[in-house]
Amino acid sequence: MIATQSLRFHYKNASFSFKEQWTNLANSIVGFMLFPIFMFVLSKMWEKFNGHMGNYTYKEMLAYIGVTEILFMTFLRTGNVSAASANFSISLARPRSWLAMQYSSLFGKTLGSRLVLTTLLLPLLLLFGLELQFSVNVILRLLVFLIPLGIFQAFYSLIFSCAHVRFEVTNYLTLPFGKLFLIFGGVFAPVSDFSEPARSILLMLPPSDLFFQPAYYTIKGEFYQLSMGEWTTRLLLQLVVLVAINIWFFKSSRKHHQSFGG
Amino acid sequence: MKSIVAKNLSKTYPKPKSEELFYAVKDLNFEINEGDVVAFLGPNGAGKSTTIKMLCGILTPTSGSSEVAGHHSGSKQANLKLGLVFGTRSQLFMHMTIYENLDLISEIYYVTGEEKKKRIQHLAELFQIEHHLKSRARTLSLGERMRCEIVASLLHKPRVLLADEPTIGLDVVAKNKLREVIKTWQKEEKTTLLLTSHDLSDVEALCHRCILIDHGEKQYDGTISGLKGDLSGLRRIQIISADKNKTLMTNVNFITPVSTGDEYIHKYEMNTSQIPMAETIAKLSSHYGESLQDLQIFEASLEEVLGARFARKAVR
Repeated sequence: MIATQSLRFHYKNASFSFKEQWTNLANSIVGFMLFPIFMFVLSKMWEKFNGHMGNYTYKEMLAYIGVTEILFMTFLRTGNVSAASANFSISLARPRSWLAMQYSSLFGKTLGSRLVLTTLLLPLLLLFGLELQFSVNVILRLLVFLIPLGIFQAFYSLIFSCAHVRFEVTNYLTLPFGKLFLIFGGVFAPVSDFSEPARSILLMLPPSDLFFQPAYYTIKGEFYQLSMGEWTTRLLLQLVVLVAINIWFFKSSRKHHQSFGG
Repeated sequence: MKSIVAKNLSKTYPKPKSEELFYAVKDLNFEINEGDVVAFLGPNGAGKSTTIKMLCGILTPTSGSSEVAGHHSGSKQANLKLGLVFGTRSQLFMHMTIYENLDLISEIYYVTGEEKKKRIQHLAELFQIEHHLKSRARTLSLGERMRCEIVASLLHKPRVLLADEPTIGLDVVAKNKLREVIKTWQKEEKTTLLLTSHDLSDVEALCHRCILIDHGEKQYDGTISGLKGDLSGLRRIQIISADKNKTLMTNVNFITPVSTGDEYIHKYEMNTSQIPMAETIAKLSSHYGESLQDLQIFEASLEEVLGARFARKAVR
């Protein structure tokens, strides 16, 4: 009973946060406008520099970049948004667990934004000339990934929310961390196109599990040199580490939280 | 029963470019009984907000402890019985409507279903925000938003409300309106209120007791009239005379004329501990006779009292 009520509350909190993010119309419109532009520019760049390798067709690349952009544009952006919306310090004096509330809020924002962008992806793929069957397959496979990826990536964002408890400003932390995922996750071009030994190294790192592998799956219907079981095991391992980091970091940050000014 | 207890509460910060520690709050002790309305006063940087943040568990004290409604500050039980209002910080999500905000905040405090709806409706009526429930928080004026902030803090019927400068930035009308509704609500729910404000008219309107701190240390804890000390009996009397040739009354002991430069307005100072008010008025009436058009009596304001107190300290 208590668990059901708690789940109901966190569902409400998640949908509230999602709604709050998307009611900021200017933010949403900029996101919608940039999305197809990125898809077009990045796929053209890939065609110029990597197209000759023959691992992917141009149409597959368009879908791949569309998917990685959805995953990346909604990754690590939300920690700061939640801090800015209502005052951060006050949320520390609530009777519900701060970590759980913050997590459900981040999950709601991440998943919600991805669902909106995913619905936008289908008409865009068709507009760029991709076949209906292929585009629908990409969307359906992506939808399967949205919840598990949202679970993991909200934990990454939560680390930065915890950092916000400890440090007044966290942009300088979020930016380079995000860029690492951008470079190592194969957001601009698939990791499989990289030469050795970079490819093997990158395939072992967490960013490839979160961006490259799911995006590869959406266009090819399988993971790159990984089975579904191996990918799930790797993500579960990441999950254990992320939960431990978050709990430790929150407890440590909580003791050192400063809230200056009246 | 004690609603708020602070025991040897201290908070230190490292001084910039130094290994020394700076005490924002130092060994602060006080207790507040259930249902009391207490002002927490002090100049800027005195440690008021730091104390409030330690009481509600936002900040961890360097040493000492505090309790809210019998529970350790920051614990779930304490947070359930605590309401918070910060004039300079908002707990509302600006892009959402007031109702959506209140709905979520209620659920954070485990207020759900019919009880939640009734509570929102009741407080919305009491604080006159019914017509703002469908408005987005960002579209409200500061005064309207502050009333919504207070409603958001009271949804779970807290036993203790900590209000840090709730009237900051409000105009006189909005301030008076807010004070009135706080008074009505406090009378109705008998909640303990700890109020910090730089606007001492708030304090005089709402509180009976005050705690004064400076440089993180307690300077005074008692009634407002006690804080005024010698100045509590001081009265300033302003007379408007119809006769511009009427001179100031100068020959009465303990009634001191004050120059105004206006032939029609005369001012006097007296202390009720030296001469009764009735005698003062009788003497003024007899001096001015039929030319006395108006008479107003003013007490020494709390601003004046604190100003004098901190000025004395600064000179020392």
